[in-house]
Amino acid sequence: MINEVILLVEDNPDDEALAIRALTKSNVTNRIVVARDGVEALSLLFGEGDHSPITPAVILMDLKLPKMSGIETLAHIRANERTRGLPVVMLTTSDEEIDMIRSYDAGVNSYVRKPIDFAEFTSVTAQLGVYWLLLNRRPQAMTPIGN
Amino acid sequence: MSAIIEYLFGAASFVPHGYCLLWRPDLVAIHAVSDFLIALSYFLIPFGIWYFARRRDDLVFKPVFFLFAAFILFCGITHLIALTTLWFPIYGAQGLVKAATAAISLASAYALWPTIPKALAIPGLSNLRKANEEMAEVVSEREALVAARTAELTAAYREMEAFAYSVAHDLRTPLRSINGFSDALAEEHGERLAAPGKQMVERIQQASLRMGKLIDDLLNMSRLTRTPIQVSEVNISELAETIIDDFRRDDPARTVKADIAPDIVVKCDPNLMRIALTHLLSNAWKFTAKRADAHIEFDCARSQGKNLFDIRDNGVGFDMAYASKLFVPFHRLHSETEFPGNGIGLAIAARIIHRHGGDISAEASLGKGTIVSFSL
Repeated sequence: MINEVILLVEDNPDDEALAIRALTKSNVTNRIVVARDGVEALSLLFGEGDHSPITPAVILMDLKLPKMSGIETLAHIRANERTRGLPVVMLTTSDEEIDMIRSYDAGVNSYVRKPIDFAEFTSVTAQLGVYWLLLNRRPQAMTPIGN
Repeated sequence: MSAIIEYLFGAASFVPHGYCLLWRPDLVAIHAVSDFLIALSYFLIPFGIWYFARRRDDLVFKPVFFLFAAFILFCGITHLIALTTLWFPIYGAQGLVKAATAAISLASAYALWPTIPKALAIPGLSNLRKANEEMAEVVSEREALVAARTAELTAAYREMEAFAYSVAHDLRTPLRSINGFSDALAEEHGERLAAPGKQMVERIQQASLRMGKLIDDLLNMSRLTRTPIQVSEVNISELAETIIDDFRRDDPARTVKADIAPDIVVKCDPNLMRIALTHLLSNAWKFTAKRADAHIEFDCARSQGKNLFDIRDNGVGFDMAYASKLFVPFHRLHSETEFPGNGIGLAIAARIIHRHGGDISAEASLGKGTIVSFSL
């Protein structure tokens, strides 16, 4: 499981750096692949061009993304035979009711609000890491490949 | 008796009217037929008037109508008698009937004249039609105004939604950077910072958290206006008890006497009311913190179909000079170091009470306590 990648979909470079820092601080050693928007995330997941598709252990996705929003991206992930079972966690700023409803309607596995307090954020990412990388079980067919 | 009959119908001393016409058949005929037809018409007309006046409930001057009906009826009788006198000289009866007709005619004429100006003042059909048209115009103008206002409100509401959404997403993001990179700065480059420098970083972090809390409160406040009210029967007493119980659990060191009037049941939104009561009671709890004999009372009285509530405490109170600013969001009457909080509680409570169509006010005396009153 150490080899499994985490796909972080985040357009804000600050947030990206902070998320990576928080994950590292909470002893998550998995390789983190970053996509800057929904379209990039999908091309990584579906393996467009000469890239082979990646199968991350968990996708941490921001809600507000350029080009294609987090919820649209999620809908595409759920619509694809190979990726529909992948755990997707909305890791976002807002706790607006409408965002949560839309995310769950689109089939999100978890909705987590990023705290402003970095210490708190680190503890959140640590819990996410423990849960999705260690505790959570998935069938053999859906087990991610280390890539 | 016989003298009266003789006077009325006695024919002995008179000749029939026909004699005056020398019994010329054409003259007798024209008098007889005309009197008969006039009498017939004069009997039919009052019947019509009487029927009309009885059926029209909204008829004004009804007595005048009935008077006219009687007047025409009597005229009919005089013509009938005139017809009779062509052959039978009952001039006594004729005189009497004429006298009665004269009386009733006079009464009708007397009643008619003062009625005319009043009747003129009653709008006619064309006046009514014109008034109706004007009214319809006003109504359609008002409707257009209402539609325009509604559109304006809807647009403003949408704008507020978009604004709140943008605040929820975009205003917090830089705060995370400020807090996160301050943390990284202290941790990774802390050795290059002297103690005051480290303190400054600490302050930056605290400020970012405070602003985060402010944004959250602002959003919660706007959310109160954006979510629709769902009313059900709520036991306010039980609600207040559970809120106070929560305070006791969170703050076991304090001894606070709480008197809550039992079994107050009110129709309101349970979630919103919980928020409002929590803010109001938490103020009472907070501002009695410096007293050993802290006392909170919650009462309800009914007046003019409204429930009037009082939340009373014996805390620090406030200067009534600032009472008007009490319900303004983020406006505080105490310093942050004296009592914690950011001044949103009462504003939120007031907004919830207002959304229920109620009113809220506060009264206090410095050092003696506060009474917050609200109606539902």
